[in-house]
Parts: sequence; C-alpha cells; structure tokens
Amino acid sequence: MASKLPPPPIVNPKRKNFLGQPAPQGYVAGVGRGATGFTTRSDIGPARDANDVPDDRHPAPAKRKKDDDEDLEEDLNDANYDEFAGYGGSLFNKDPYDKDDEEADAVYEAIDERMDEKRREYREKRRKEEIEKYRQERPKIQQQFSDLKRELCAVSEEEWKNIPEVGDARNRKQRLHGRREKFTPLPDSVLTRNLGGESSTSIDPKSGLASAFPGMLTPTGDLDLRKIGQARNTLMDIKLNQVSDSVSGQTVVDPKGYLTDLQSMIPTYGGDINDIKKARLLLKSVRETNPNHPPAWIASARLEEVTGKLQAARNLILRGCETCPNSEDLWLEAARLVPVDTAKNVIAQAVNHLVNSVKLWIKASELEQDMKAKKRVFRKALEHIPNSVRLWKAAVELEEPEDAKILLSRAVECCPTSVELWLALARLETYENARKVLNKARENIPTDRQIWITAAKLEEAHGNTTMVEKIIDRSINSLAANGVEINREHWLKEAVDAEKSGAVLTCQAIIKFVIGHGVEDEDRKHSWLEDADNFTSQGAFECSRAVYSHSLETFPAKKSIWLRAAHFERQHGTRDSLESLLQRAVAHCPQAEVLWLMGAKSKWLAGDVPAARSILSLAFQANPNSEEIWLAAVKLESENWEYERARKLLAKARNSAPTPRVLMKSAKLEWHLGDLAEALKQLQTAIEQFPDYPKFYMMQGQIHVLQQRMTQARESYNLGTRKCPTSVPLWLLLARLDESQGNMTRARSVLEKARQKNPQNSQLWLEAIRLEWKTGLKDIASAMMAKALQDCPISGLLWSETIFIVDRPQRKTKSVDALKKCEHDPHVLLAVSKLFWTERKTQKCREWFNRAVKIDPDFGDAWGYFYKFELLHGTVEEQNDVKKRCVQAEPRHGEVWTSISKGPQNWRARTEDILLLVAEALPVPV
Amino acid sequence: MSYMLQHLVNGWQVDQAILSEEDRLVVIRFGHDWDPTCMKMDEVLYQIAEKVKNFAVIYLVDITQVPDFNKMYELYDPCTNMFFFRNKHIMIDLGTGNNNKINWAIEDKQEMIDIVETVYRGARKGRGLVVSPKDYSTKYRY
Repeated sequence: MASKLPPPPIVNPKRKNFLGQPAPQGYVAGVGRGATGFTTRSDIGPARDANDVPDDRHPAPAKRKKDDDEDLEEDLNDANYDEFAGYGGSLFNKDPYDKDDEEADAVYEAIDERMDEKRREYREKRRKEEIEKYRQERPKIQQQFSDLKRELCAVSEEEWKNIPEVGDARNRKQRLHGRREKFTPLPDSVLTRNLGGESSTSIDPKSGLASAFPGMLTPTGDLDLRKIGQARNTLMDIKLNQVSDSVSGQTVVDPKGYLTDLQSMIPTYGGDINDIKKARLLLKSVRETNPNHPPAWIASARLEEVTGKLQAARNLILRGCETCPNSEDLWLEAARLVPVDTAKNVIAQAVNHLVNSVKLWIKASELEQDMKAKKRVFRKALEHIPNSVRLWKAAVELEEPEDAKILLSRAVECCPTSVELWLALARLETYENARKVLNKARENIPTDRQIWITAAKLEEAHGNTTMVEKIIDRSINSLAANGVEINREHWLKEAVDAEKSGAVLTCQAIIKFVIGHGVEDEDRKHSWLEDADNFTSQGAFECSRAVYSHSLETFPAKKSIWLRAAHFERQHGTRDSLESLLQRAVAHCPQAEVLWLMGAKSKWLAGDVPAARSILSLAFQANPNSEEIWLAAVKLESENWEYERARKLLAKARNSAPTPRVLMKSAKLEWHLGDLAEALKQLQTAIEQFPDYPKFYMMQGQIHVLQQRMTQARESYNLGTRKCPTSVPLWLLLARLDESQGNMTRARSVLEKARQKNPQNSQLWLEAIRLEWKTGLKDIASAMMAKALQDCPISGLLWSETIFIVDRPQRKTKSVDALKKCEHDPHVLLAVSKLFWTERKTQKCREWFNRAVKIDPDFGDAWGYFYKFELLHGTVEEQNDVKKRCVQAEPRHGEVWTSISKGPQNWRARTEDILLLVAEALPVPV
Repeated sequence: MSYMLQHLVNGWQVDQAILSEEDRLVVIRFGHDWDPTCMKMDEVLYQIAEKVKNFAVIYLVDITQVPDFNKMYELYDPCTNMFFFRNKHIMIDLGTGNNNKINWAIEDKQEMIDIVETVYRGARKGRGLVVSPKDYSTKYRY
C-alpha cells in the first residue's frame, strides 16, 4: 500500500505534518521510536505490556547457552511427546543399523525416486520458463551490457591502453591504511633483556687508543652516559697527545692550555644561534650599504663580542675606524675592545684624527698607568682644547696643591665662566689672594650666587663679621641688577649648607635678607614659621633660630611667634638662650602669662628660686590678679617648702581673685599639709561661694572619708550630685563609697541614676560592669557590657575592658573587633599589648606599647604598664629609655596614674617617681 | 483552555511529535480535557505556551482516545505531564518520589516555566534526570 504523503502545510508553515493524520495500519505506538516505559506503580495497574520493547537499559543477564552434552540427552518436554512414538525424534536411533535396515532404506529410496520421476520433465520445463520470465523482468547486469560488450572488439589496443584509470574514491588515510610502515623505537628494557648477562664493552680509559670504542654500534650494556663521556675524554686526550708529540719533535699544541682554553670558550650567549646569524647578516648588509655609518660598525662589533668572538669584534671595529675615522664613538669602542697595549696606539690614532674630542683625551689619560704620563696627556689635551672645563678639572685633580694653583689660575683665564674653577682657585689661595680671585670671578660671572656666598664665608672665616652681612646684601642687589631671579628656596638651601659648614653668620645673613623675599606681606608670618619648622626638621637649628629672630624683629608683638620661638629654644637651645628670649618676649608681650610662666619655670628648673620669684612678681605687676600666675607662685612656694609664704599668697589670692581654682588650691594645700579641719572650713566657704563647682564636693567627701565619717562623706557627695549632676567623677566617688561600705544595691542604683543623668558615658558603664564583676556576677557583667557597647559603641575604654572580660580563647577576636571599632584609641592599644604580654609575645608586645604611648603620650597607664613590662622582660637600657621618654612626655591622665599622682602623699612627686609607683601598683595582666 | 492547545489523537502522532523536535523540549499532558485537574493544568499550559515556545512545545493527549501509552507510562492519574527531548524521556526529581512525571496540576505559571526551563537546560547538557527548582514533597499525593 503506497503511503499517502501528508499535504504540505498551507496555513501555518510551522504546523507539523503529522497532525491530523491517521496512524498507519497496525502501528504499535511507542515501538516505532524505541520508547521504553517504566514500572513504579504495579500496585495500582498492570505494569508493562508483554509486547513492550524491553528496557535495554537494565537488561536481564543473558541466558547461558546449552552446550552439546545436553543436546545429546533426550528432550523430555511434554510438547515433544507423541502418543505413538514417545518422546520426539526417531524411536530407533539408538539401535544398531543392520542389513534389514539397509534394505528398507533402499526400498524407500527407490520409491522416492519413482515418485520424483513421474513429473520431472514437466516440472523442470516449468521451472526454466519461470526463470526466463524472471530474467526478462530483472535481467542480470552482465546481460544488460552484453550489446555494449560486443562492441568492444572494435576498440584498438591504443584506445584500450588510454582508458583512464578508475580513481580511488577512498581518502588518503583509508588508502594508505596498513600500507604505511610504522617505526616504534625499541625500548631500552628490551635491549637490556636481549643482551642477557653479557659484560658491557665500555672503554678502559687507560687502554690507550679506544679499540673497544662502540662506534656506530648500538650502545651496549646499560647505556652508561658517564662512561661515554669518559670515552670521549680519552679520545680527546689521545688526539691531543698525538698533536703535542708530533713527529718533528716540536710541540705544536700545549695540551693543558688547550683544554683550559676550551673551557673558557664555552659560549656565554644564551640566545638562539639563529638569531645571531640573522643579526650578523642584517648588520653586514647595513655595513655594506652604508659604510660611513658608525653605529653599524659598533653594533656588529658588539654582536661578535657578545657571542664570544673577540678577535672578530676587534677586526670589525678597526675596519670601522678606518672607514669612518671621524667618529668619536667608534674610536672609543675600539679602545675598549682591543687589548690595553694596543689601545694606546688606537687612541693615539684617534686623537690624531679628532684633536678636539674631550672624551678621547680623557680615555687616553685613563689608559695611562703612570701618573706622569697621565699629566702629560692632559697637558697635551689642554694645548689643543684649552676651554674644556672637564679637562681642566681632571688635570687639576692630579696635581699637587701648588701646581694646582698655577694650573687653576691658567684655567680661570681660559674658562672664565666656570664657577667651580673659580671657587676651587679661591679655596687654594691665601685670604688676600682669595678675595682678589673672588672679586675677579664676580666680574667674570656676575650672575652666580655661589661666588658671593663663598666670599661671605671667606670673610666670616677670617673674622670679618661686619663684612658678611654687607656682602650678602650687596650680592642680592647686584644679582637683582644683573637680572637674576632670586630663588628663595635655593638661597635657603645655601643657608642650610652654610650652617652645615660652620658659617653661622653667613647663614644668618642669608636668611635675614632672603627670608622676606618673594613673600606676600600677609603671608609673611605663616610662611616664616613654616620655614622655621622646615629648618628644625632638617636639623638646621641656627637657620630656624635666625628665622625666628628675624620674624620677631618684624612682629615683636605677636605672642604666637614668641611662643613658637620659646618652644624651639626649649627643645633645641640652651637654657640661657631660652631665658634671654623669654625676657625679650615678656618685654614685648607682657600680657602673655604663658611666657612669664615659662620663664619662671625655666629659672626654677635651673634651681634659681629667687630669680623665679622675681619673674613671677614682675608678672604680677604686668598681669595683676591673674589666676594662673597666682597659682604658679603658690606652686613655686609649696614645691620649695615655703608653706607659710604659700599660705599667705593664697590668702591674698583668695581676697583679690576668689576663683574656684584658687579656693580649691588653697584647700588642697591645707589638706596636704595635714590641716584637715582648716581645709574643711575653707571648702565649706568655697561651696557657699561656688555651689556648682564639683571638685569642692569631691574634696570634702574625700576628707570625710579620710576621717572615717562616712555619713558626712555621703552627704557631701549627694549634695554634689544634686548640684552638679553632670560631674561623672562625683557619681563614681559616691558609688565607690557605697561599694566600700558593702552597699552593692545602693551603689548599683547610684550608678543607674548617674547613667540616666549622663547618657552614653563609658566611665559610668565601666564602673557598673566592674562592680558586677567584683561581686562575682560575671553573667550580669557581660550582659551589661553588651548593653554598654550598644550605648557607647566607639568607647575604647569599654572595648579594652571587654577584651579581658571574655574567656581566653575569645580574647583575640574581641581585640580584633575592638581595633576595628576604635583603631586609634590608646586604651584599646594598651589592651592589645597587654594581651600580647599574657601570651608572652614580648617583641610584639613592645611594638604595641610603643604604638600606644605614641598615639597618646599623655596616657599615664600605658607608660606605667610599659615600664613594668620592661622591668620584667626588658634590658636596663630599655627600662631607662622608657623612663626617659615618659619623663619627657609628662603624662597626666590614666586611671591608675591619676589615682597615684593625685594621692595626697604623692602631691609633690615628680613624673619619674610616679612612674615607679604606678608600675608597682599595676598588676601583671593574666 | 484545552481547545487552544494542540491535541494528539493517536499513538503515531504522539510518537511523531516526540520524534519531530530537534531542539525543543516536548511537554505532553496526558489526561482528559473534561477533568478538573487537567483543566487547571491546561489553563497554566496555555498561558505559558507562548512564553516557552522557543524551547518547548506543548501537546495534549486524551488517554481514553489514545490508550497506547497508559501501561507503558503508567498513566493512571487524572493529569500527567511528561517531558521528552530528542526522543528521550527526561526525568525530573520533584521530591515526590516519582521522578518520571508530574502527576498533579501545577497552578502557578512561573513555577511551570521554571520547571520547563530547568528540564530543557538539563536535557541540553545531556542529563537524563534534572532536579526541580522547587521541592514538591509536601504536595505528595496519590
């Protein structure tokens, strides 16, 4: 049945052609595309149809084939059973085949034959007809071409030969498959196996001529490369021997030298040999096309040099010199390449060609070993080129001072514009002559400041101090007149140089005249101070002193400049210079208390108490009723055990300037002197006068505590907190008082109240946390810490405490968090260094301590810990170093530090003593 | 919405539909147009058909009219969706325990698109089993 083609899609070209078509007859769905089903739910329906295609993804194991033995056995299947004959096959095929059987078979055969004979003719005829008919319908190919074949007899032999070959349609790979031979190298293992136990025939190195040399044989034995190498050496040796002992008895080659030569000839060039060849070819063509191009010659010679062919390089370069004798570079290259003795000749030729080449002359002198010869070369050179500064300099360097002077005097005549030559000459001359020389130089080169400055230095060195300023002044004028721009920075650099070379006056003079140059009037102060700072940082103290003095002359009434200058003198100057400066300062700015106080302090530090006193009294005259000065005077007296005077002063101060600080200081003095009753009395009056000053309450409370009157103490603290609710220390004191009395709940409530009044205060939080920690409620403490950190997330104080509150394993992560939150907080840095201390990482710990004290040198606790650390783990030098730095920094803050420095027994202690006490009081972190 | 989607009415057409797609996923819904579950499914299929037409083609087969695959594919549920790619049945792990097909109605369009796309991507890479973007184990029902 011819299948109907589906109609081409008309409406929708995308429409599939099978849609709407009936299924072919007898189509079994799924089988056509080899679909396989699955069995997952045989519980609710028939699993698979019997006629389904078996899932060949999981085929059952193939059945074992029956073997022949089984075949021989009787097939006892029921289906094979016949009622008459029993189980299949012949009944008698097990019986012997006898005569009767043979006869029976023959009879049967005869019958068959007879039956067959009956219609044989007809049958065979019909069969023939059928075949013929079939052939007609479908003729054999042979028959189809039979007519054509017959015509082949007309084809001539030539035509036959010219019939083109039938091409091979297969591709090359298919065609050559199997025809191509493949060669696979025989593995070494096979070779060794086949060799069996045969002894290897390596060469005996001592057996003279290598009779057993393997030659072209396959390497024998176990391919011993070492032995091959040895063999090669032996061969070489033999050849060398032959050469050296030639028949004539004359040794042609020195064998040892030859070998070492070979060693030295190992090519050093690592690149590709082909590259070299190419380069050689290219350079050759360049040389030939343009022989007058010196770089080509140089490049070729260098190439040969690099590849190790020195002789070729020399030849090339010399040929180059011949072809272009006017190239300085070529001659220099030649001198470099040829050996030293010939180099002299080469250079001599060169200077013949190029008389005016400075480089060649210098090279020539370099080639000379002898000093005298060198000098001679220079003389000759200078005859030819008298105006080369370089040659003159080189020549002068070789000479003795006396000859040099003569040479230089000639040189400045020849090269009058060379500053260096002039200056060198001036340096060599005597004072008088030097002046003359410099004057002459100035005439010749009126635009150079160096000469002027050298002149100034010269004058200064010979004690002619008045001339220095004059010279500098004139220099600036004349330079300006000659149209030279005054570059301030260059001049200032000259000043620094002058200071370095010891010419202080010159430096001062330069600064005096130049500092104001090129600066706008309104910028003057600013830029001068900047210059001074720059000089200080460069270590040029004289320069910055000069800048300060000049700016003070210009602005005598500027307090800030005086202060800066005073600081500068304190740091880098002597005491005398500081004091004289301060005296001038207070004369100009009598209102500046700081200056007065600095002066007094300087005197006092020098032990000159009466002078300090007189300064302070002068200060009083200048600034009557200044609190600062009052207090300074009191401090001076009390530090010098003059308590009565101090008391009197304070009494006066109370009368004339009753400020809270004065009142406080006087109460404190009484307290320190042990007169608690008087102190209390004064505090009472002070509180009446200034009820809002928290320190009075604190002192009052502390005195009460000292006298064991806790109720009064609490009263005064309570009053204080009411009057000044924002004073955190007061709250802390109150809480601590309660805590010391064992009143934890009260302390807690006090702190709570304090936190309400002063939100986001880390100190209060810290106190509360410590309270809980001390009571042993660690959970509450850590919970509170979490709250505290929410309240003050960037408080270094809290973070540093956190690090030590958490368990040891978490400390590190906490410290990282802390550092992330407050990177530049000294508390955190200190905590981190303590952490390293507990881990015994001394080096790191020291580093972090240094960082902590650097970031806040005023933080006493860090210094204390640092010192303690060094006491335990450091050397004596390190301890002293820390102590020195601490004394310099004069720290005043820090929890432990203040508790010790403010203690009544330490009220007159120096920083150093406090540092020791603090270090003692601090615990070793665990 | 079943009348908007292409129906296959005999087993030969089903086979041809599966064989004819070279680059697209063939999604076949087996069920009955009158079945409420199928109605929901067909609604979703009709709405996504246009969107996924670049990589998937959707056919509907009535399992009463074409019972040829009922045993082979165990089509005993009211609504069954199966995926074929280049004459290969693509399985999908839906978390239901039956990876062969989706035998409930998915009522969310985006979910269905996601599934079809996942199957398509997996099949393109030669996977026979893909993992459904969403786990339907809570919807497990028989």
